[in-house]
Order: sequence, then C-alpha cells, then structure tokens
Amino acid sequence: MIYVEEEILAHPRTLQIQSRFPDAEVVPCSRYSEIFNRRAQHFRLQKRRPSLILARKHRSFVQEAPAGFGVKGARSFTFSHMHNCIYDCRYCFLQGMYRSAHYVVFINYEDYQWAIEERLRSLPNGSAWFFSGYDCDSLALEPVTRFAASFVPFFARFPAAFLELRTKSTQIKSLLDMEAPPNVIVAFSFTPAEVAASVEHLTPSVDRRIRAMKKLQERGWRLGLRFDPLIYDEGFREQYRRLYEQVFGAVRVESLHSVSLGPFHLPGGLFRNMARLYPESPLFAAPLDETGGQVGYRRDLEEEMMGFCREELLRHIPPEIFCPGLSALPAAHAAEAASPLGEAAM
Amino acid sequence: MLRFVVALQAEAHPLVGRFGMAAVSEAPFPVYRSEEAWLIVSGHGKAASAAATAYLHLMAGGALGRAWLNVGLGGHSQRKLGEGVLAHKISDAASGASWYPQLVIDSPGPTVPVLSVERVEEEYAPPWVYESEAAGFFPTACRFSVAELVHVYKVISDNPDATLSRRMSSRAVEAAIASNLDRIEAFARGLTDLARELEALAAEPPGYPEALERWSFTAAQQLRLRRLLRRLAALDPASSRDPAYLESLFDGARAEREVLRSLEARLAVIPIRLPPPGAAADDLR
Repeated sequence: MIYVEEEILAHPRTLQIQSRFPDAEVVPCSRYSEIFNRRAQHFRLQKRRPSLILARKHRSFVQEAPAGFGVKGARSFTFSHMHNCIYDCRYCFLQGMYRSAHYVVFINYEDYQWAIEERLRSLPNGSAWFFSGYDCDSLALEPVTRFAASFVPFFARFPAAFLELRTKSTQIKSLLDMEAPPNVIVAFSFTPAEVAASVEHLTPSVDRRIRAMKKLQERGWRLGLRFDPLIYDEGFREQYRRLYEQVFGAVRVESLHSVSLGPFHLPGGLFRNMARLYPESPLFAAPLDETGGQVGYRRDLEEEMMGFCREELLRHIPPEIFCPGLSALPAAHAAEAASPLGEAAM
Repeated sequence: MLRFVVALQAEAHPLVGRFGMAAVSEAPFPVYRSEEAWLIVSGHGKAASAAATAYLHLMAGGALGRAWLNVGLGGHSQRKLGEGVLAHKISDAASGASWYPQLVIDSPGPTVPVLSVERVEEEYAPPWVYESEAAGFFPTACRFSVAELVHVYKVISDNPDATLSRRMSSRAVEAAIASNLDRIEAFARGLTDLARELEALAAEPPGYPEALERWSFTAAQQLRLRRLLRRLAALDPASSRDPAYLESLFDGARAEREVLRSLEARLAVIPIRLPPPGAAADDLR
C-alpha cells in the first residue's frame, strides 16, 4: 500500500516511485500526518508490514547541527528526505521516536536543494558540511527514491560544500553510474558481524558492506567509516579487533576521508519507549546508566570500550582522519529536527 | 481478545454461531460472548456504533489493546454483491474527517475506501463503499486499542444494479455474512494473535507477582523490582522462567531490600551475550 498526498499525486517523482510498485494500492490522503505517527499506532506491530508514504515537505528543509557535531572548524547541517528506515536495528532511536514504522519520503528534492543553496550563499566561502542519513539510511531505498542520484550531482556544483551519505546499504549502483565528486563522502556504519547479526535486522552483512565499499573505492569515491554505536557483548574486544582487521584488510586508508567511533547513547525518553517495545532484548538489559537525561553504558564500561576501540583503530589509521565529532548525532537533536508535528501544523 | 461490532441482529447471527457465543445481555445493546470473543449489536448509524463500541469495551472488562472488527453491509458502484472488502480508509461524509486502519497481516479481501453517510445513498459516485457505522466505530475503538488491531470488513449488499439492503430479508443478510465467514474468521484470528503479542509485551516479568505476594515493597521498590526482573528475563530467559531458580534468589532474604540486592548481585555476574539471529530472546511472536 502506498499513501500519497493528494497535492503530489501527479508529481513526476511520485509517478516514478509508484511505477516501481505496479501492484500496490495507492491511497490518497490530505497530509501524511493523517497516517504517520498518529496516537493509536504501534511501531513494533507496524514494522511487520510498513507502507510507503509519499509527501511534500513544506519547511525546515535543513537544520543546523548541534555544537560539537561535525567536522571541526566547519559549519554543519543535517537534512532528511525520509523518515524511518527499511532496516530494523534494535539500537536505533527511530523506534523510540515514532509510533509509526512507515517510510515517509518527501519527494520535493528541489525545495531541499534550493534551501541548501540558500544556506551556502549566506556563508562566507560557501563552505559547509551537510549530513544526510539520520532519520533514515541515505542509500537503502535508492533504487526507489533516487535520492543520491539527485543530490550528488547537485553537490558537485558546489565544490566548497560537502555531503555525507551515511549508510549500511549496498545500494550503490547509482553512485557507480556517476563520477565521484571529491566533496561527497559515503560513510558506512559498522558493528561487528556477531552484533550486526543479532541486533541489525534486515541489514546487509558486514561482508557485503565491505564489498560495496571496495567497489566505491575502486571508482574513486571518498569513504567514511562510522563504528557507531559501540555495542557491548562480553566478547567485544575480539569482535571489534576482528571487525577492524576485516574492514582495513579491504579498504585502503588513502580512500578514507574520516573514521569515527560513537558510544551507545539515547535520550532517556526514547530509551524507555524502545525498552517497552522490545522488553526481551538483552541490549536494553545491559548495565546502563542515565546521566544528564542520556542513557548509555555504565561509565566504566563505556570508557573501557571507547578506549579499547580507539587504541585498536589507531593501529590501522593515522590520527589525522580519526574524527570523534562525526559520531552519532545526538538523537535528541534528530528527534527535534525530524518531528512530524511541526509539519502537521502546516 | 476479540471484539465484534455489528449493526444488525441478522449480521450477528453467523458470527455468534461461528465463534460459539451466547447472549449475555439484551439492553441497552444485545451482547454475546464466548471464551475468545465478544459481540455487540449497535443498531444503525455512526453514533450508535460509537456508543456500542464504548459500551462493549467496558462490559468486556476495559482491557486495552484488544482486536476489534466491525462487520457489516455496504454499497459500491462497481463491486459484486456478496463480495467482502476491508477498509483502508474511512471518511465521515458529514465532517470530512478521515482515518486509516493499519493493515499488518494479510487482508481477507480487496481493500477499499469506506464512506460513512447519514442517509442511504443511491448513487455511489466515487468508487467507495457506502455505509453508516465505520466512522463511529473506528475512532472509538482506537481509543481502546491501536490502529493495527481495529478493522472494518464490509460485504457488498448494494450496487447500481441491485439495492438489496433495503429489501433484504434477515435471512439474506445472514447469508451475505455467512458466505464471508471463513475469511472473517481467519482475519479475526490473525488480529487476535497480534493482540496476544501486545499483551505479552506488557506482561509482568516472571517472579514479579510472586515476589509482591511474599513481601511488602514500597512503590519505588516495586518499580526497581520490575526493572530488575525484566533485565533478568532478557539476559537469562530460561532461568528466569524457572520457579526453583527464582526461589533460590529470594531464599534467605528477610526484607525487601535484600531481595533487590540479591537480584542485583545476580545480574552483575550474568555475562552480556547478544543472542544469535533467530534466537527467541528477541522474538515474542
């Protein structure tokens, strides 16, 4: 089933996306907020069979990233062409943020691009970083949305601006079909294979992600590595050591723009929603503490993991490309930025 | 787990028979029940349907998160008489408000938009199902459950060639519903399974009721106890379901604080091992 806002029923991108699903029932609606994130909905039940919702975004196309996040010394912004993700990662804040598991795709890419261009023109040197992939995976639905196919050529026109596509996906065909602009970074997220198999449901395996990185590397794409969030298991040392060997055995350091590590942190409210949805998950039963409204591993455990992983990582990469500021965007900011309530109020 | 709302007594009869229900009240609404299902006959119109839905919710014990199904008749400009359809959108002709039932299991038939009207329509201009109850039933039932568990199933009784519902005998109404019973039952059972899944999510962890019976925890201690037992159930599901194991944890504890300390000590030594894919720990279904 595909829900489509009435005002975009005839939009070329709507028709193009619909054509990928010729058998799907199209249900027109006034605004996507009639369906998405309504009070009486249940994320876990809906995740069994999520629908696609095609909508038009009216405002808040680009948000300033919070202090401390991004590339040091550069202005950083986030933007989301989509709410929710086709993957089902048990640690993902989206589960706690929305009552709906449907995928909302905002099809008016040109309005985003206009907003980005406007931001760039207002900045000295037109230099800034733009991060996509916090309220969704940047590439997972690429064959349907053609998001990268539209935004990469757009960013190629602004060499002083940078775009990060963050993904766990292997949907890289549209990237392989074009020249690699030097100002676009394709950043892959990883947890060790054992962790991914346990808590990253529906995602491509670590092996397949590495193969996708190799293909991009061969075509000259600049890559990023995001070991984020770090997930604890009693065998974490061995698991992360193996993961690094596996990744750096395939990905050349020269192809890497940046590497980051991020602890498992969630705003308390989102954490409690998630634990209510999946009370049986050992992830939420680990030794966790709440400090300053953020839930994370007990401080000693977190420091032990961060210290070990940083040290191991620096055996493989030069410190210049280790960028802790590129770890996960605080979910509270993402929640605020992505709130559909503001849209619904239009 | 299952709640049916129908408008007519004749719509009720096939469902009452199929689910083995018996009458439990006659007024203000006829109500039937069995071990697995409740049914209420609302009468005509969305106000009656909303009132009956709320009445049944309370009469059935007021538990939230149950499966709700409105079964009835409707008119359509193109569909065949007797065909069963499920609503994917419900609009109230009077107010213009719309609702969207969320389908997460296989549909028992084609899905259609449904328009709730105040008076009988003879021209079904847009190809929607025309009826009179869904706009009262759906938003009311969603107050007591979630949209994934609340659905509207209509059997086509009228189309441009035949306006059966106004001339339909009770027997013909029963026959129209009865011919859809297998599909309705399969769908209703699917919804019931989902409701059970929700109930399992909200269930108290093993050992919690027993501990409350044995000791007098303060409200804050009860929260802590529940959290600790939930963690135990997630990290060591097999042991946490074993009464002897729980007994060994509580054994010797003379006060509530000692019970909590014993649980914390146990949790501190359980190794954190993320389960392999497909393991039961992340699957309540």
